[in-house]
Amino acid sequence: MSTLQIQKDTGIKNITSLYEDIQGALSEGEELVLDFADVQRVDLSVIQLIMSAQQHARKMESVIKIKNVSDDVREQLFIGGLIK
Amino acid sequence: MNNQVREVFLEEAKEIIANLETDIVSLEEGDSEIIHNIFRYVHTLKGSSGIAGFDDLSEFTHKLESLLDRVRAGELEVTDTLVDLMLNSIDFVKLVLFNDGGADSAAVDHVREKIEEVIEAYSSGQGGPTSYRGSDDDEDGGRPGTGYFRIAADFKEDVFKKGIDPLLIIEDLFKSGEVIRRRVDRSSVPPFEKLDPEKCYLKWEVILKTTMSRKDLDDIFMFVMDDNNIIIEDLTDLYVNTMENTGYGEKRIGEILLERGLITENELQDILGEQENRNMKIGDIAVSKGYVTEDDLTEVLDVQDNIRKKVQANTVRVDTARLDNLLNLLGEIVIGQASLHRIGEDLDEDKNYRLTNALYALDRTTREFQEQLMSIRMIPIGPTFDQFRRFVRDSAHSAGKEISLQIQGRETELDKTVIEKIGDPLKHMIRNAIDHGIETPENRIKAGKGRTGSISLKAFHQEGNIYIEITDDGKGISRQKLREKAEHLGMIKPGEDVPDHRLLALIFAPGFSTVENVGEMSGRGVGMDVVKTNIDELRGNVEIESEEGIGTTIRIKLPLTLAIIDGMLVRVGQQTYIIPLLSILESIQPREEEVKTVEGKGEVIKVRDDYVALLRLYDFFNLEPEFTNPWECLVVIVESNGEKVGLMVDDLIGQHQTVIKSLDSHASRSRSLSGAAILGDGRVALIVDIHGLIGEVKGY
Repeated sequence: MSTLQIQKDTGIKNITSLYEDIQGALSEGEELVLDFADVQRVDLSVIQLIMSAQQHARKMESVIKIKNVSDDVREQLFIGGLIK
Repeated sequence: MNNQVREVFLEEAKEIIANLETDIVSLEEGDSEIIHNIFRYVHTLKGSSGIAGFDDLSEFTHKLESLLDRVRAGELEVTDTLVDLMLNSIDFVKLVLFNDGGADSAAVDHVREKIEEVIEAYSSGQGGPTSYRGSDDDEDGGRPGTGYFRIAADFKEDVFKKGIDPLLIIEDLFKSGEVIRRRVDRSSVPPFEKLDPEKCYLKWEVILKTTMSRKDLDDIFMFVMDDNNIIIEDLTDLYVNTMENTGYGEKRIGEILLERGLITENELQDILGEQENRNMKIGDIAVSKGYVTEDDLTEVLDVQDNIRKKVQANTVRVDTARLDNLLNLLGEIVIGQASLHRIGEDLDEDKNYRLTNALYALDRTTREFQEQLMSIRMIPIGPTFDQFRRFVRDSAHSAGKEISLQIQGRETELDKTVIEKIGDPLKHMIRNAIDHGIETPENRIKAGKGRTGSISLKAFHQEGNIYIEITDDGKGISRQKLREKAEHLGMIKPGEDVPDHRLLALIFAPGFSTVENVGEMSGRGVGMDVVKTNIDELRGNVEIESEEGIGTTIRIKLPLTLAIIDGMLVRVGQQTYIIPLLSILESIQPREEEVKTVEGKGEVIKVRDDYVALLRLYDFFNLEPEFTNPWECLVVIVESNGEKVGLMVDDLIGQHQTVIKSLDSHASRSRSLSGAAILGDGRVALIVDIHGLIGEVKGY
């Protein structure tokens, strides 16, 4: 299992960097945990990236989990369609 | 309490009770969703009975409603006992409202106490009744200012590059009211390895209940409206005033889900495809596939129910006597038109031409008027069929048999008068099928059949008539017993060669029964003749097919309407008669050598290999004929109850469709005449009742 700490200012400006980090982590075939402890706000680019990554992980019989999500971010993830 | 209110309530209660009985039987048969209908009917009954002043009944139905609420919440299992309780409760409601049996108040109270004891037992055994929760209470749905909107937001892929985060906009939208539905369409998001994370692929569809105006909603999307595909649709009419502006009739669940944006067209197709493979309801499939939630489905079911109620609210009850009056007046107009046609013949060519053209246009309108008027009288036979579901269930139980009832052609429409009069004959035939047709489960197994017998009711239109078939897969009719009984009663001679259809038709003869055991209603030798008489009164006929060991089919043929008759106009002397086309087999002109007199049978004519009794209509009606020799005139062969008779007439004038007028009491005493019609030239034609005529001639 590997953990990726999501940066406080993660968003469209640095989304490519996050994409590459996730891609690298998934290529190792391990379960990936995204830690949102430092995050108070996400934008849509983050949400759809995680969506796509989760789908990719499932194909590889792996999984992406998210943890330390604040209530505000949880609401954003819900509105964005990442969680139900 | 106002009598009119009571009358309206009693009419409404009849319909509700009929629906309840059908639905409760469906519940027993495994249709668990129908509990919602049952609950709503009882809820309506409770409310209406209170308004109409039946306070005790309102109190009783409140208890029943509380019980049903627990059933629909899944707290109580649907068992035979529970179904019996529901049906007994409905019987009690009937007793209170209609009391056909004339039970005294002590007896009514006793029944009520017994039922309430059982309801109480359910309540105490399950933690007490839950409080009433209305099914259609929309607390602020109709409040002025509350609107329902569907918002579809499809952002362009490069939206991020313009510094816009769609999530912020959607968040604003979520804050502007109550989100009834949120759908995020991920279908455009590419696989991870092909994903460009700087592009936007997600789309939203949101159903929002809000007090905000359309303009306020537009403002949320102000900066993206022009460059992106944003659709805002006002669904308030659909959600709140479903019927008022749209004119919807009955709606299917799939349609409502689609219209409300709860599912997409593709999802609906997927559901429909699934439904072909699985015996499930559309709503349940939609839930099982995760397209909608249980709450969505419950709400849509309520909407569907409200639509039904609105449809009912948009109808008016009209006494059929008023429709009959209208039809009679229309008949007078037709007569007036015919008179004008005749007057036109006396005018000069130009005036006649102009008058005739004007009259043709009027004829078309009159015909359309007549068709519209007739269509008002037509109602589907479904509810009549449905009322037998409980009857079959109860009768089968008491006879120790297992019987399923299949219904086909519920939508077939018949004249209201026919519907009202066909119920009793159908009931008797179904009772016969249950008592004497369908075998016990043990005997069915011995006969190589399934335990459960089947009775099917089928209605359909064919060649301008209505057919109703009652078919059972029971033991059929024993020809040997039929023959023995007929010989015993002197209806046929021992060893007489009787065609099978005539032998079977004896079942409809008065006093005929082959049954050893007398059932509650059938097997007493009365009934099938009454059935036959009732159907004859409807100007229909009935025939029977039966195969021993396989089953029996009784086929009733009825005219589309009783208000209009399709007949053959015939002339006897100077008088014109109408013979119903349904009764006519053929018309012939016999040769002299084909007319014979047979001892004990009177005059007969040979029709191919058969001899048919000849009836001189001029003699019967005491008229001066044009011809007295059968070979100089025409003979119309008619049939009723398997009995053929040749009616001697001077001339066939032609087929005629006409509005029937009833005869006064003096003329209607004759069984051989069923009514009259006014012809275009103002003359009156009498309508011959073939069954009555043959009955009078044969002396039964």
